[in-house]
Formats: sequence, structure tokens, C-alpha cells
Amino acid sequence: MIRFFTFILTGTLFAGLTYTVLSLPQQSEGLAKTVSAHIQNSGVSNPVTAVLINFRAYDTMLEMAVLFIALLGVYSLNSSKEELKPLLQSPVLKRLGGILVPVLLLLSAYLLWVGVHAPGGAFQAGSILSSTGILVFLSGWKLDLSSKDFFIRLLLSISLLTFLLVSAVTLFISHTLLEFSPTQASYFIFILEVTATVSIGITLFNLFFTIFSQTKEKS
Amino acid sequence: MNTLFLYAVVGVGLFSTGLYALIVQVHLLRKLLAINIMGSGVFLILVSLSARTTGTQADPVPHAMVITGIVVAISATALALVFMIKIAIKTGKAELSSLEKE
Repeated sequence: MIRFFTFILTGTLFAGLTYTVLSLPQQSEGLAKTVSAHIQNSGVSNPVTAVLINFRAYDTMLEMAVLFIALLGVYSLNSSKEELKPLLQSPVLKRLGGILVPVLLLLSAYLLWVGVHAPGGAFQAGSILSSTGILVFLSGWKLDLSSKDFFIRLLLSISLLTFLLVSAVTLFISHTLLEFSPTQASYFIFILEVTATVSIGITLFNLFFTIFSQTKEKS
Repeated sequence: MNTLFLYAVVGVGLFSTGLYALIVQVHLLRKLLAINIMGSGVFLILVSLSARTTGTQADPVPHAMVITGIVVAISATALALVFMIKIAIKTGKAELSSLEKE
């Protein structure tokens, strides 16, 4: 009975939303013209990267804060203490993981670099970095990136710290939060992108690692 | 009719399917997957509707919002997974107890 009513409800929602989407104008410029008019002042030539790290940099800063807070929440609920052993023990997987790691690290660095002028950037590079870590861990290599180490803690928070530092600096220079002058923008963007890649990579890996250790504890 | 509106309607379909599953399914992992499907639908709508520009370059602002949204969705999913595991350890099953049983 509940299923039937829910089906009617979501079906009506689908019809209404479809009507709304189809009644939108066929052509809409949005902010594409505004972005392309200011792109030469942004320090990069890829519009998505320009929007992410320059025009709407506070968005990315708050997003790094969300990622950091989610990791803190996962850590505070973590109760497993013992060392983890990977599930799979296969010599083939171990060797293949060892071969793939340099390729994946290179791919991550390439994605970070290519984000300046083509699709790519800190988020894509960071997720490749974290999946590299997960591959290394699952193939049976020993990889300890848990937050007991002070250096790892610094790397986990370095993106948020850099964002706060850069916003303080720009507040003093131009009296506007995260407003880069066109001559210095590329340097700021480089620092923010690199630190964001490292932080995203290690944070996502730690999220996976902590949840994985919880499931091991249950069984 | 433009083809990119087809993608937007598929996004609406994903959103509605996810909402249906979120209400109907009892297991918490299925609810979590349903929320993720709803999010994917929203991302698909945003990306497809941002391509309605006259030039070759799509509107980059929704693209940046989608990238931000994906990372936020991942971290929220991770946090929710830990909650689900805690509930499963405490009660023995990954479901929320209904009020009628108590």
C-alpha cells in the first residue's frame, strides 16, 4: 500500500519536474559570457578551474572544510585499534599493484597540471591519488597513512590551512576575501591546487581506510 | 527538441527513482545508495542544462558546482556509512527500528 502511494507520489513529481525542465528556454547563456570575459585575469585558461579556485574560491575553501569535518566525524566514531591486514593475498595482485602505482601517480600529476588549460584539476588528481593508496593497500603492501603521525595530520589539514592563510593575505593586500590580482593569481592557484590535491587524496584514503577497519571489526 | 533536454529528463528520472527507493527500502545501505542516485540525477541535470549556451563553451559555473557536490557527496556518504556500521553493531541489523515495535 505504502509502495503504491509512494509510486504515485514520485511519479507525479517526475511528471512535474519533467514539465519544468522542458519548459526552460532552449538557449541560455548563464554565466559563460561573464566567465570568458574575465578569464585572462584569472591566471588559468580552463574556465572550470578559474571558477573553482579563483572566482568562487570561497566555495572550494568551505568544501575543504566539509571534507575535513567529515573526516573528523568518521575518526570520532572509530573504535578499532588493532593493525589491519588486507583481505586479498595474491602474488599477481601484489606485483600488478607495484607496477600500476608509478603510472597512477604520473596520471595524478598530469591531471593536476592539465587542469590549467583543459578538464582536470585538484579534485580529479586527488581522487586518483586516493585510489592509488587504496590499490596499494588492497594488493597487500603495507601502507600506514593513519592520523597518528603528526606529518600525516599536517597533510590532511594543509589545504584548509593554506586556504585560510591565502584568504588572510588577500584580505590584507586587496581588502577583499580571496581576490587575487591578475599578476599573482597563477601563483596562488598553483599553491592552492597542489595542497588541495594532497589533502583530498589522503582524506579520501583515510575515509575509506577507517570504514574498512570498522567492517573488519564487526566480522 | 534538443538532445541535452533528454539527458536532463533522465536526470529527473534518476532523482525520482532514488526518492522512491529512499522511502520504500528499509535497509540503511539501500537508503544510502538511493540518496547517491538522487545526487547523481541532480548532477546530470546541472551538467546537461549548462550546455544550453550558443557557443561551443558550456557554462562553467554549474560544472564547478557539480565537482564541489561530488566531493561533498562522497564525504557525507562516508560519514553515513560509519553511522550505519555503528547501528549494525549495536542492534544487529542495519535498519532503523520503527515506532510501532517499541
